[in-house]
Amino acid sequence: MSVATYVLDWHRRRRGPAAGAVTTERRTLYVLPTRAGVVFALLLLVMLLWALNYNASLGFALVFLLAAVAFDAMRQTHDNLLALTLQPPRVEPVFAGQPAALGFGLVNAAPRARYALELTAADGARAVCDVLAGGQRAELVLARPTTRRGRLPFGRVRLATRYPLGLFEAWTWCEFTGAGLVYPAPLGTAPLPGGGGTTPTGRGEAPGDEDFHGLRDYRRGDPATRIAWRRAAARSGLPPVKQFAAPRGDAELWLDWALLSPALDVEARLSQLTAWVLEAEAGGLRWGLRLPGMALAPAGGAAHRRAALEALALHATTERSDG
Amino acid sequence: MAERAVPAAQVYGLVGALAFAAAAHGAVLPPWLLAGVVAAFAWRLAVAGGHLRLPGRLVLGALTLAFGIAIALVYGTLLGRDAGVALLAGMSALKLLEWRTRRDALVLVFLGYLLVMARLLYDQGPLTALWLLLACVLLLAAHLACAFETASPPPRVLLGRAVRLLVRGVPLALLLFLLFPRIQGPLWGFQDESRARTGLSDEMTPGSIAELARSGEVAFRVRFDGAPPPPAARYWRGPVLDGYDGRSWRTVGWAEGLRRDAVLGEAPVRYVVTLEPHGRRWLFALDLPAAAPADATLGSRFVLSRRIAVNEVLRYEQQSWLAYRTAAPEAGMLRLQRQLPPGGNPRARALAAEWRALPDPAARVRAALQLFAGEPFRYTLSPPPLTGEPVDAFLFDTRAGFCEHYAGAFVYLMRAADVPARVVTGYLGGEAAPGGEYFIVRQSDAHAWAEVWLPERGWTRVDPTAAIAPERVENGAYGALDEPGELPLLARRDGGWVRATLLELDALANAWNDWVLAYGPERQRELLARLGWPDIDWRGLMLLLVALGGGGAAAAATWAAWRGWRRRDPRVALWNAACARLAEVGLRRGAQEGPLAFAARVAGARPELADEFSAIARLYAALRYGAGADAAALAELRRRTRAFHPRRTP
Repeated sequence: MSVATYVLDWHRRRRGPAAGAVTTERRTLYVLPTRAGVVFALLLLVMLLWALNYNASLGFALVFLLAAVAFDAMRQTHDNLLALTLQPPRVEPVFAGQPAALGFGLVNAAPRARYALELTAADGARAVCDVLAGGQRAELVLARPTTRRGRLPFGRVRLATRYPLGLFEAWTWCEFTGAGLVYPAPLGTAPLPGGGGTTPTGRGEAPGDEDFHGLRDYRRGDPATRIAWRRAAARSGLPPVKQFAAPRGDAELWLDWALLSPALDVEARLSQLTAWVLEAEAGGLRWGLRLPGMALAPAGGAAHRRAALEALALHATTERSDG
Repeated sequence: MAERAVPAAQVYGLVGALAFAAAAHGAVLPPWLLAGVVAAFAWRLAVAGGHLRLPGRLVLGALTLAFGIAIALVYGTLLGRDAGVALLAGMSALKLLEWRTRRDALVLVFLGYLLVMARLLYDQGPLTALWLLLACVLLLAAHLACAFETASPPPRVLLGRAVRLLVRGVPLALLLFLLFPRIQGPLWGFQDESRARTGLSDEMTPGSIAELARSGEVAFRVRFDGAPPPPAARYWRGPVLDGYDGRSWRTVGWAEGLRRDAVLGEAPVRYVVTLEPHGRRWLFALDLPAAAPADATLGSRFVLSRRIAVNEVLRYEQQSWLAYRTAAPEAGMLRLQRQLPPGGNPRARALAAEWRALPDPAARVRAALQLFAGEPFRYTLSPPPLTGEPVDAFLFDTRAGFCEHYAGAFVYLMRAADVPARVVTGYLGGEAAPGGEYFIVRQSDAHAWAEVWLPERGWTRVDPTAAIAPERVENGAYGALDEPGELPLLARRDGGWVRATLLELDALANAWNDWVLAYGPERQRELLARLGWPDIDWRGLMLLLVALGGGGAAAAATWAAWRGWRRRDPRVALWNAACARLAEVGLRRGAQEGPLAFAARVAGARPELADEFSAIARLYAALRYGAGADAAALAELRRRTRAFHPRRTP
């Protein structure tokens, strides 16, 4: 493995992270024999000694033929990876704890087909593409576990192939500057703020809590008070959660950082706010979000939800500017 | 990594390739092992078909243990050809039952290559070479299939690619074959001397050469440098037999230590022999060999012999004196060659005692030849058996025999008459191949004659058979025998078109022998000398190999680059770029889909792209398949392609 580390150091000195698509080129493409290749070489050596010991001329012919085929296969392995374009991944935001799916686009602009391409991440996630015809694009999806909210750097991936004979491996590394987004995990048991001081209608009751609307499956972060325990006992799988329809339009809900106890740490408060955002949006409310230093005016809908979650994800991180 | 079932198609391919490689060994494997291997193959196929399950670790362990014990009991060793083949076949079968991962598949393919190699230790004819190529194609196809994890291409495609891999390897393989430094094997000493092969032995009993004469197999082929010597001079000297035990003649000791007699020779004839493997150490040369080829020695009885048995096709250059005179041998040698077992054959001894009165040994020789010529002796492949005293019975009762009877009786008489004499075995004659370029010497040309020591001439060849059947010398056994029909087809002269065709094919076998099988250190040196490197050593060869290989690789790379550059047709590149952008938004062009058909499909799926893309497709089709190159149209295609940026469906 030390060889690979050495090559990696060398590679990083020659090519830094890229913002856009990366096309494999000769100077950053590496080829080494695999373990099977080393075993094959030993096999040929044994066969050579065998031919020598028995003076078997046709045996020499077989050994040399196989050696020549293997040698040519090395070149084919190299060419199989050359001039492929790897595009930075598309990734949908996820909540912390959920795996993110990084969908790398692999484009073969050349007319000839490529075979048995393998993409691996540093954490061992792996995706393969058995055939990539000329002029085609394939999407290779790497699952990446997430633990913390914030930016999810794409990092370095390794594009490799062992085609045709598995005796050599050609590979290159592609590092992308971009990053995906990880929302805070929606956790917290506090009920939606009861329309408190910030709700102009002041009906004294928590909106979204009154009219029983139906049941849906449990999601992380649903308050335990909402779980329909009696029903849950009757069926397997995720426990059902009571859903309440709130009257639309007249209720404006503020999800405010300041409502949460300062005793909670930052992450717990963000998680609680995330859970509220989901709950409010699921309930079809008009809601706004207030964080230290920013506020989102009350609204509803997917775009609003995305903006709010992004703000939560990037709250007090160093790189929130481009969100 | 999670274990996934091996795709059935891959199993069929690999089992087929292995079966093809292993089937060639069917005759060598013991029946129990053959049955076991077949059962394992069938088991693996049934697993792939979903009818059975792979054996568990316990069952497999038990099978492996049983197999190991059986091999050890049957062969007693793991070295040697037969044990090695049995081991390989059994291991392949067991590994098949253990095959779960890609690594196992590669191990199986490697075992397949070894099985192919093992076959070459038994046979290396042109047909085996053909089989080898087929087996390689099948194994390479199975090898290729290992690269794919889910969707392995159909067998036809895999086989095609395997053929291409093989063909691309041929130039380098040829270079390696010709230039890789060869050394004479073996490197270590396990040689199966016991391999039963047709050919002369170092022992002669009545009937042994007649038996050999019934075989039409080729013993060796000869190419003369100039005019071939006359038939009466084509005596190919093999083992010399000088010990007699009353029944058999054999070589007494190898007597390597004895001094070789000095020879005065004239008129050397040069030729090249391509000897078929015969499993013994001696080589054949025209009487009398003048020198020994590399790696061989000329012994005290003028017999060429090698350090190791000839188990491969051997090609050597040789020269011989057709006229020669040898100096006096050591006294010990002469004493040895006067010895007879005490007693026995009283009539022959009485006759020889009469000749002893003749003062000149040459006169005693003539007397003996007159005996053979004067009495009604017959030359036959199947003489009546000799009972009682064999020499007496032959000389005075049956009077029918093959060359070994005559040579043996003659030497017996000579020794009894106090003339040093010995039996020489080898071949006599040989048939010119159809083109006349070389001679074929067959086992049916096997012969035995005598050599006597005359003080004024040294060792002198005497062929008593020639006194009875002079045609044998001129025309081979066919013309001289009482029952020529007993000879094999190829040893006869009346075979008709079948024989004629087989003789034509012999040229192929001869070329194969000369250029493939006999290509060893000697032949390599010869070739390099002809190319202008007479004294190149292995370091020089390695350099040459690297230089030629590197040069070839560079030339190939340049050619590929040039072709790639040629192929980078701007029209195709632009079209591919446009298609790649569409593929990105989920519209893939089918492998066989033409530009206009694809444009129509795109228009159907994404009407807002129809105008732009149809224009691109029409331009491309016109440029590519239309009247001819048009700079303006190409510029238009470039402009439109650059501006073409389809978005994902909102």
